[in-house]
Amino acid sequence: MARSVYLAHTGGTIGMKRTAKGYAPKPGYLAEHLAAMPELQAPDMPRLAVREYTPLLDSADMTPHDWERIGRDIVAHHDQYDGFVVLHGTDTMAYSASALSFMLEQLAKPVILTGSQIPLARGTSRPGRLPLGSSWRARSISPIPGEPSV
Amino acid sequence: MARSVYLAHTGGTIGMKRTAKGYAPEPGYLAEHLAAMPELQAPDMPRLTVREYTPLLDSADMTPRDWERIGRDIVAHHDQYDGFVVLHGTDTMAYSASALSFMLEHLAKPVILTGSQIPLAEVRSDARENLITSLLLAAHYPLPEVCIYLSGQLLRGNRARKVSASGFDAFASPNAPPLGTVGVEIAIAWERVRPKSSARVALQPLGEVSVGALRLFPGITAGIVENLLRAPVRGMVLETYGAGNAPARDTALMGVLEAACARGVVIVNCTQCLRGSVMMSYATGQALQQAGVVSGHDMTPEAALTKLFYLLSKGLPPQEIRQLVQQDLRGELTSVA
Repeated sequence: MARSVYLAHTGGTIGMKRTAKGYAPKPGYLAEHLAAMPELQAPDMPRLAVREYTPLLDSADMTPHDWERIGRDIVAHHDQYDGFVVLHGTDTMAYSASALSFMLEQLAKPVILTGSQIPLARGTSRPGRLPLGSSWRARSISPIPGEPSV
Repeated sequence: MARSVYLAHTGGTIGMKRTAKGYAPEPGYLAEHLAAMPELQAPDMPRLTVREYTPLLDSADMTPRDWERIGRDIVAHHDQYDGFVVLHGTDTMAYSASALSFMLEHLAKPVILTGSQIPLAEVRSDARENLITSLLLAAHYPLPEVCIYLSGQLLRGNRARKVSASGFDAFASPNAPPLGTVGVEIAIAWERVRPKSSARVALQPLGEVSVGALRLFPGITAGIVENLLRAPVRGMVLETYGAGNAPARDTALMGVLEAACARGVVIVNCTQCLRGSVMMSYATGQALQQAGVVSGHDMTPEAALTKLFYLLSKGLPPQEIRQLVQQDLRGELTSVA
């Protein structure tokens, strides 16, 4: 049976668009790019539920309220999915991953936080594609129950 | 002619004695051990003048007054010796080395800070090699810089950070390659060593300047930051996320930063990351720039903090300090041309 992953897109460089004021988050922009990625159609790849957060956040703007929102989202969908991928800015990723590791009591599914240093939509973003691809694969091969990992 | 080195023993693990209450500094203890080291009598070794400070300090207890004392000591003996070795606890060694690099204007001789993770008197100590190599560097190598030498690496002092609480390789220089590496050979990267100034060495004392440091975290509030920025604080190192980012959506927080900058507080943006530079290119970084915060580029927080002490002590207007903070004064930042 196909595996399924819940993808929470909270914001961060990975889904950003270049604007006159520097890179900035843009609603719907990442989903468009995901739809155009043939890699996501490969047989190993899980069925995806993409949830885009509103507003998309630069992780520098995140607060403990945002950790709570992510945590509630994971708990609400915990039993329907094989695992969770949280797209997140790298700036405060270590803070969010630490917070979620404590807040998510008795976590039984993998929660993988990932992101990139260059937006997915930029031609040169190998770093943007690799982590996303390998986050799926790592989880579909070996489920890691326990703490959220980065 | 024999070379001569002035050895300032300020304290630290290297000269500590084992006591019932743990390791503790003990006056006279280090000198006894030095006298018993046959290595120090070798022909290459410089003639040594040992000055033991009173009281010997755990470096966690050091303040800018102690940097000043070390600086005055070096300036007073600058012309009589080929070089200087400062024995110092490793805990705040990167701060002292950074501060001295700014305070010692037109330094023409090597100043090598060293110490150890295990006291010299212990069998399995790393002190012996650190001390002997530092003495050789100070005696024979014309390095007109404040350096840290530990465990095979000669680092520019204002680029160094303590990165290990337990390893012998306690220091790293994440944004600048070492000035030298010591293995079978002592290899100095002379092209990275700063040129010697022809002006006379001088010490800039630090006076009574109030400077702060603030590490951002998710959930930090405008109220917390406002308290930290209150007078008499005149300079602040703001440790931000990634390439220099802060919670720009928190308009109250940005307002507090902007008001402080408008009051003349100099706020310098340094990254919490070990490696890399502040590049205020994200929307969240640009907001800081608009508030009046200046880029610390790839300076360590230790270098930025001590540079603020130094520049503020000169009594310059805030606008001039903001410009100088972003300039390379002692090799502490990589200039962006």
